[in-house]
Amino acid sequence: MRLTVVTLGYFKKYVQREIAKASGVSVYTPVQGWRHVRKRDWIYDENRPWTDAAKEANLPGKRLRELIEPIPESEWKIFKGDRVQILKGIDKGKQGLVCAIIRERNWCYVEGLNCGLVCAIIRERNWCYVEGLNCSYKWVNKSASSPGFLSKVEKPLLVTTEVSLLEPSDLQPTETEWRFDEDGQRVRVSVRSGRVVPMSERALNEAEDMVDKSAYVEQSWDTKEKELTKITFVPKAMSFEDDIMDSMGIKEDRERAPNYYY
Amino acid sequence: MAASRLSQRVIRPLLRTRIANSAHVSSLQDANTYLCPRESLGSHSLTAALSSLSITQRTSQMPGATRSFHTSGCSHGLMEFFDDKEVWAESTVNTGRPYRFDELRIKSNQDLHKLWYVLLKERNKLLTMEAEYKRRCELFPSPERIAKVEESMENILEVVQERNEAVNLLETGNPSHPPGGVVRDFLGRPMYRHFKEYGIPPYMNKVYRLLWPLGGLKRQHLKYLPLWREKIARRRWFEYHRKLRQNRKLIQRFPHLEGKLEEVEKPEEPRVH
Repeated sequence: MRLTVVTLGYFKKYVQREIAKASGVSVYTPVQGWRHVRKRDWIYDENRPWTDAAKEANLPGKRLRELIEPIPESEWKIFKGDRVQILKGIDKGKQGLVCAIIRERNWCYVEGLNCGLVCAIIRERNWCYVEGLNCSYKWVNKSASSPGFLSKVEKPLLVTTEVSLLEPSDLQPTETEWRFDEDGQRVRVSVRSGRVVPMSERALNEAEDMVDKSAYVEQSWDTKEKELTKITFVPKAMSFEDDIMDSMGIKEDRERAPNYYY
Repeated sequence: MAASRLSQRVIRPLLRTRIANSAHVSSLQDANTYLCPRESLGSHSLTAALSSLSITQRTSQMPGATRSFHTSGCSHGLMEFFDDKEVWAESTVNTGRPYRFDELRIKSNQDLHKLWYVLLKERNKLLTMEAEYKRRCELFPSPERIAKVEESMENILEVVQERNEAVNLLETGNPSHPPGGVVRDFLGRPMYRHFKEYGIPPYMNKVYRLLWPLGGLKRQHLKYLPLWREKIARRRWFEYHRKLRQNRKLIQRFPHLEGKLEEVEKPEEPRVH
C-alpha cells in the first residue's frame, strides 16, 4: 500500500515523524536547543517516505526535475474508486477505476484489467493510479533456475491532463466543477450537463489512514458507541484538579507557596 | 511550529506540528464502527473504566473481573506492559481512531482522569512492545497506534486546559496563567518567551538572569542588534525572491495559472527594538 501524508488528523503527524526519522538531521545548539534541519522539500513518489527506496530518492544531491502544478485542496477532483478515461499514453481511450492517488505529484493510478495488484493513494504528489492501464511490465522473482513471472505494474497518470472524469449518463469524458447542491453538500458536477458525479463508496469508506471503515471489525478493546456518546460532564465552578481532589477525598489545607511566572 | 506537550518526553529532538482536529469528510459515518483506541487496565474495557468506581477502588479490585462482558481474564503485574499474546505474531493490529475533542468535552473530569491513565498505560505498553520488537529485529505491527494514543492524550490536555481557562476567567477575570511576553535576552534581542512557573522571583534566579538579564537594553547590545536585523531581513527577502521566481516558473510552465497563484507578500521589517 502506497501511503504518504494526508491532510488531517493523527496520521499526518505519524507520517511526518517517520519522514523526519528517515531524513533526520536534528541539531542541538546551546541557546536554540533542538532544531530539525532539512533544507529541501521531501520528494514524494510511490514508495513510503520512510522506506529505503524513498530515502534513496531523497539523497542530498537529488532534486525533482519536473514542476508540480499546485492544485488547491478545494479543487482536487479525482478520488479513489472514480471511473475515469485515460486521455494520453498507451491506453488512450480506455476507462478504468482509480485505485491510487499520489497527491504530492498530481499522479493517479488506474486499476488494471483484473491484474489484482495492490493499489494506493498518495495525495501529496497529485498522482492517481488507474488499474492495469498505462503500465509497464517487469520480471519478478527472477533467479538462475526459473525466469520468474511477469507482473503488471501501473504507471502514474497526471490528474490534470491525462485523465478525465466521466459523465454519469453517457460515460464520456467531461469537465467537472465543485458546486453546492440543494442540501448544501459540496458535489462534483459535470459542466456539460449539470449532472452530479457521485463519490465512490471506496472514497467515502476510507478513513484518514487508508483503513476501510466498513471492513473494520470491532475489537474487544475498542470503546463501544454507547459509552462514547454518553454525556457525563457536569459543569462545576472549580478547576479540573480541584474537582479530582474533591471526588477522591483529598484535602489540601496547606498554604500555597508563592509562585512566579516569567 | 510548536512542540507537542507529549513529544518532548518521547522523542526529544523532533519538532512536531500541533494539528487542529479538523472535521473529517464523513464524520457521521464512522461513529458506529470506527471506534476508539485500545485501553488496558487489567484488560477492563473503557466501559468498565467509565463506571461509577473510582480509580483507587478499581485498582484494589483488579485481580477479579467485575463486569460480565469481559472476554479475557485480567492480566496484572508486569505482563500489563505487553500486548495480548494472540497479537504478538500478527503483522497488523486493528485499532480505532483517536478520541476527538467533541467526544472528550462531554465527559466529566473524573472520566477524563481515568481515561488519561488508561491511555498512559496503553502508551507504555506500545513503547515496550516497540522496544521488544526492535530488540528481536522484527517489524513492530501497526506503529501508528502510538501516534493515535498520543493524539488522544494531547486532546485530553487541551480539553482540561479549556475548562481550567473557563473557570479562571469566571472567578478571577484573568486567564489561568500568563501565556508569555516579549523579553530581552542576553544578546539584547526581544524574544517572545513562553512563561514557566518558578518558586523564586526573577531577581533571585541566577540562570534566568544570565539568559534574560533584567536591566533591559544595554550599550553592548547596540553592536549586535543591527547585524541580527540584517540577517533576518536578508533571509526574508531571499525567501520572497525565491517565491517570486518559483511563481514565474510555474506560470511559464502552466500558463492557465496566471493570476490564480497567491500573491507573494513583501517581507516586513524585523522587529529589533
